[in-house]
Amino acid sequence: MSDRPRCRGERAQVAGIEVLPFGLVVFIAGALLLTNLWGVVDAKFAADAAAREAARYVVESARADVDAATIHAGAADVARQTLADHGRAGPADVELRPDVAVLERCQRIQVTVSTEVPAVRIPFVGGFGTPFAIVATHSELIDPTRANVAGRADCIR
Amino acid sequence: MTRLCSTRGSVLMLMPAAVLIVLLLGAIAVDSAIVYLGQRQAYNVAFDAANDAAGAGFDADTARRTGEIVYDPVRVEVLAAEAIAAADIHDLHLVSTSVADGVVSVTVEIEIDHLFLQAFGRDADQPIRMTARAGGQTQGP
Repeated sequence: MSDRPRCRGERAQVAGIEVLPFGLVVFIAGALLLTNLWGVVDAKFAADAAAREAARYVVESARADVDAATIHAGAADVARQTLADHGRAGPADVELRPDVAVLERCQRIQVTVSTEVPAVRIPFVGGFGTPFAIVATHSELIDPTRANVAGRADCIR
Repeated sequence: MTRLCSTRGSVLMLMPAAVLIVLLLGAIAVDSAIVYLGQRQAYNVAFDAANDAAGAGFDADTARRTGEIVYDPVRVEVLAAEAIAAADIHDLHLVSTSVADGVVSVTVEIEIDHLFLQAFGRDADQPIRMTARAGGQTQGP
């Protein structure tokens, strides 16, 4: 018979081998959840900034001798550049309302920027799954008293 | 005789606790970012509403006659409400507008839903108020 002492305690038994994969799964799933949620918040920040910059561009660029289509295209470029500056070079839709031929004083400009976030994003690997849209809207009034803008300043009483 | 048993592996018990702590801190970070996002959105909308109201809420006749900017409080409130409605942000509403010393103030309130905090028994909604100010001035020819 061996003289080696036998240990019959149960201490640490619960932290057996089964805990390792379970803990790993919880950790990975939790980290992925937080990363993806952070991605959504970050995309919302970027879309919000893009919509704001585009709206600023429109109200600052509206002139009687510039057609609205040119300003629409410029606003879309500004929005996409802002998204790119936030590290989001993916597809983005920029919608500008109202859809008119000439921008006039007192018109309320509404710019909506939507960008996409993948359903599951793994850091350093990329995104998977059907993407969902992150939308931000920004609105401003074309300055009623600025020079060289078409229309009447009807919003001032 | 007392026999010493090996406790090798018992440190693994710390692993689930550490994982939970890391996830908890991450959840707090995400919740804080959501609150910060709501704050920024509310301030941006309040600022734009104040800017719109300051640009169009004054009495044109007085400005032409005297060169002085005199704001109409009712018109200021209408313009600010229009700007806030056009922002299309959920749970954001106008609290008050005021005019003092040629400066328009717009106060808005937004209710921000925490994502994780409600799991710990706290109220999901946290109202945040933001105030922005803007003024106008006349320029000669």
